[in-house]
Amino acid sequence: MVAVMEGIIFDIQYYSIYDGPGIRTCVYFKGCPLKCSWCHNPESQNPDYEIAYSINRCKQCRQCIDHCDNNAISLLKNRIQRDIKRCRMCGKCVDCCPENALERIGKCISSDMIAEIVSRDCAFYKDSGGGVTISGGEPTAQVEFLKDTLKEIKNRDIHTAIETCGWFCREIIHDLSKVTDLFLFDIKHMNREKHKQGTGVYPDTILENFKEIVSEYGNGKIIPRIPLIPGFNTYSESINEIMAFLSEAGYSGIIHLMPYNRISLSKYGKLGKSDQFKDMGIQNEDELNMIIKKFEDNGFSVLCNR
Amino acid sequence: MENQHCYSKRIENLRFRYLNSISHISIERARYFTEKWLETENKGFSTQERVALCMKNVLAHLSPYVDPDERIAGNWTEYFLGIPIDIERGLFNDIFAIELKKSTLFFSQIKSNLKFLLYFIRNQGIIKFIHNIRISLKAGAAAPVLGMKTMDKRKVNPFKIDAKDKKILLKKILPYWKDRSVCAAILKNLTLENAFAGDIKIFLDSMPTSSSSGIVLLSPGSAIGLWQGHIVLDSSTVLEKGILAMIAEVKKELSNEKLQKQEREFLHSLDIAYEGILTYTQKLSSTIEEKIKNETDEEKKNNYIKMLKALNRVPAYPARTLYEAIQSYWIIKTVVELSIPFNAHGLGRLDQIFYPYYKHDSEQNSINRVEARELFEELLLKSMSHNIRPYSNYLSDFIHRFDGSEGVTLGGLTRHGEDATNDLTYIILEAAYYSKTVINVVVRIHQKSPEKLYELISHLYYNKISNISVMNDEICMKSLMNYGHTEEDARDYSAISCADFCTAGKAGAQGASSLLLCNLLDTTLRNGNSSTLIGNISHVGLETGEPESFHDFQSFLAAFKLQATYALKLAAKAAIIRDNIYAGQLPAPFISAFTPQTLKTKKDVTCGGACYNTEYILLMNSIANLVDSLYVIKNLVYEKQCFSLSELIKAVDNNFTGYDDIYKQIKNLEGKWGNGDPVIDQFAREISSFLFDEISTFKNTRNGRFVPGIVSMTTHTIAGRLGTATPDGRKAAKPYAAGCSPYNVEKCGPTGVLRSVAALDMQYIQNCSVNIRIHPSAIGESPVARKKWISLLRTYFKLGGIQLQPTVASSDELRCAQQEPEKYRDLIVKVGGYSVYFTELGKELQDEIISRTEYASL
Repeated sequence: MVAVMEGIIFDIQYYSIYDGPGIRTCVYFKGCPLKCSWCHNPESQNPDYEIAYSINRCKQCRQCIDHCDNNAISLLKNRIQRDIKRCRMCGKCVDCCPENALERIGKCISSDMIAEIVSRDCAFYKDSGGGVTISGGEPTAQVEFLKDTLKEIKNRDIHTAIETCGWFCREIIHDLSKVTDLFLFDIKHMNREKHKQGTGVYPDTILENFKEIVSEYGNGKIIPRIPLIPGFNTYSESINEIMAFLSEAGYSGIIHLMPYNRISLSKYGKLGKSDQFKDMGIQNEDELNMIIKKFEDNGFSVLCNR
Repeated sequence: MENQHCYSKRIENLRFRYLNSISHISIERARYFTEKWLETENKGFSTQERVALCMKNVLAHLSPYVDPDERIAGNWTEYFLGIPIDIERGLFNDIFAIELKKSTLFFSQIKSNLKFLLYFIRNQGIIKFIHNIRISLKAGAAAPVLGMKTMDKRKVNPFKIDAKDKKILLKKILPYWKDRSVCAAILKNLTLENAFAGDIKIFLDSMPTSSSSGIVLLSPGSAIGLWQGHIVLDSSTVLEKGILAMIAEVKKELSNEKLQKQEREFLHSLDIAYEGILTYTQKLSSTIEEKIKNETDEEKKNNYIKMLKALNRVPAYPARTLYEAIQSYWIIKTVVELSIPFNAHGLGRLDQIFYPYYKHDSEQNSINRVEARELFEELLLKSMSHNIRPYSNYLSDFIHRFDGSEGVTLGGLTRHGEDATNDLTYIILEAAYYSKTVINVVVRIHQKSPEKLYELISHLYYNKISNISVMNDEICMKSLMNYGHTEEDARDYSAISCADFCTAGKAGAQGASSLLLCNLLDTTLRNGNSSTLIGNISHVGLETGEPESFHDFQSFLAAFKLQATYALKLAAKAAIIRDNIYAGQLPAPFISAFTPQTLKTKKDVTCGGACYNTEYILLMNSIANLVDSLYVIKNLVYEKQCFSLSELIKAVDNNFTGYDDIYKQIKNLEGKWGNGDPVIDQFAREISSFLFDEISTFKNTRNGRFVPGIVSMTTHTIAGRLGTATPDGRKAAKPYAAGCSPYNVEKCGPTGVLRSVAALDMQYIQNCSVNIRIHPSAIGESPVARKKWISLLRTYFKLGGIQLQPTVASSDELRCAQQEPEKYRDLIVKVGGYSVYFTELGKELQDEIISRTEYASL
């Protein structure tokens, strides 16, 4: 008997309408090799379990302190403090909290369980031409689990997509593409230094991987997605460079634009990472329209998630 | 949508006036009805003739209001915004008798509070009583009180009455009908025949609220609506033939010498009803003639002249133009609605009824799209102005002024099975958008529905028009045929009020009773006794066993089923008592006059004269809380044995205070209904199908079957306020789930909810409302996103869903509307099955709507 593969996910979202064709279910894998300063899902970065804390729900009843076997929790300045060195992530504090102020981030799940859950929405995929998108974090950070999950889903005759930052080992493309119908592939910046500044890594591997997929599997297998981050990549030169790269890679067709928004602020707070939240500002509507027009003028068809 | 910016100032003005006027109580109907009633006593008339004559007298004497902002003439009172009084039925008589005057209100308060105190102290002892009150207060429940504000002074939904009228009403009319009204008779007979007796009666009698909500609790688990109605008239015939031709038909039948006495009396009542309509039209015409004489403004004068011209033609003769058709339709609706007010007179398939006239006019180029739309906007607004009820102070907190509880039906199939969507379908949908009425617009969807129709609905939803709901033709038709409709009639169904449906002109006298599901569960937990936040009632259900006696879940479930069947029998028995009283005491000649089958059966609709004679038993308060509670008991009590049933009951009794552990386990139990989990969905289907089957075994007095429905109107908040906590983790005093909507929804998105709901066997019910609150982003602006939303709807229907009524408003927006109501007067939301203006709701209902899970997409 083949051992069932397990991995860590932090969310499943249903009726996703901006993550690939049709009505989709998005499964979010935990862990990401990049550290984008605008990251929407700060809970996705760390590959391990985390415990989030909503201070506005906490009534300071001290039950979590009493239940902790490792003396990792204390009450300081009207808020719960968890000593990460002592904490064993047993989750007893989460279970005993009467106000649900503590929340476990990350759930261990098997690939066939994922496939079983997502297949319940088959009727919706079928009518809308949708399917399942594995997102993250970075799904390829748990590559074996990813392949197995995709295989299980494909076995149930469901369209599969992965949403990737592109930072993965070139060798896996071949295997992945057997079980992936569509790569939603982030392109963030062409300037090496800027890219490193914004995401923590140089873009070389990412861009190579993009080219590889386009040349091996053609335009139909991939859609570039560009997060529009005010002040980072929305200026005209940056957009021009991105378009030049896409042409050079031989890509034409649809692109997804994803304007920045601030809704992740509360998530940073819950993880005790408020200091890491960087407000990138608001996307100017006129500028956005100009960017859309620019892409369209260059023959791309644009789907803007707004 | 064409003509985006082409909205009418006149319509906006009308809506503004409806929203900002205080409604008046008109006593004309009560007065002239009573006058004739006394006059015809012991004069040898049958009851149906007498009722028809009384209404005709009303129609001959009332002074219908006419307004320069109107193009469609006719009003049911002498006020721009008024309500008549259904004195002989008496749904609201107690309210008027108590709540119009400070002194009566004061005495009633003292009397009922004393009664209330005495009852509880006598029954439970002072210690238990204080204990209960403390729990209730802690849970945030307020005992039902009337307050000290008279109807005209209260903050929510006030009603004014002229001082002179008030005197006549209180001194003369109400005292006469006190023991003579239909409601009084029903209550009396329910008690006589032991359907409303014992502890529950003493309990309810001692409640310090007026019982005039139109609903009587027979046991904690069953209730009966005192009204009878919920109909859609056959309007097409009168537009085609005119009243005179219809009178001729009745006369021809009357000339048959072989008629039985009763048949003759019935036909005679029809004749009087038709004559009454002509009398009303004449009365209206002479009012307009007066207006013309005194009007100096040329434009207004011309409008009145146009009205008059139409009235000279319709409804006596066939309508020739769209304008005449709408005018004719409106006269009939107004008169019939006046004859039996507050009854849910559905508007019918407007796009089908009026299409021939619109087609004729547009071929002649005598009307353009915008003009046609404006007429429908006015029709919708005017219909809304009749959808207003003089509820008690206590209920006015939960209810709202304009009730979108009369449905307009659009789209769907023709009688021959073709797609019925036409130009008017779109025009009327746009009218719903521009008029911003709360009238419930139901779009019928089937496999051949055009994409364009879906697109327009999505567009309107995106623009936050929440007065539209969608119904699934396939399932609705199956259900009608399962209860005896022919396929042609099934294809021709119309929505009646919120989510119920019937074939226009073919059904009559449909009343409703209900099963209150969480209360039934409560009686099962307590061996036939019941607990509410204001006290316990003993011996109101069957003695099905103490909690310890159930050794497994199956034996508990069996006990629940026994309780349900017992309550059902009671509800059916009460419905039969009610229906017999209507048939004997208040036949409906005006409804029968637009139910063509009665001409053949020669019987009033209340006596079974219509084609189809089903009526409803509704599952309320609520399927979601019931299924989840049973699931908790099955899983945590019997399977995992985390705690015993007795411990669970104690936790529930204490609103989970001091039982954090149990509460947490309940809350953390995954897989409750509404998350698309196949196991629980199957369980919900079994429970609901058991109830459906049981309900449909009963027959009513007209030899029709009882048909199940799953709706709650607003009772989920009203009853929720008095309800103890439920085993699914719902806290005491909190609203139950609305209608057929899930309650303990986790994170499985709209697809999970819709799959769960569609898993119920909807082809056996004829009334079901499913709320889903969505953020506009879930519909999206782009055509790509819209297609996905459309697919969501279509797939839900393919899976077997029967109805869906999205409210499109974000939580933030609703909270803003609570803060600054004046800025959000037009914001429409869906409540139990109908639409209402959000800002006219009491705080409790507003909070319930905000608490519903919101679906967005990001």
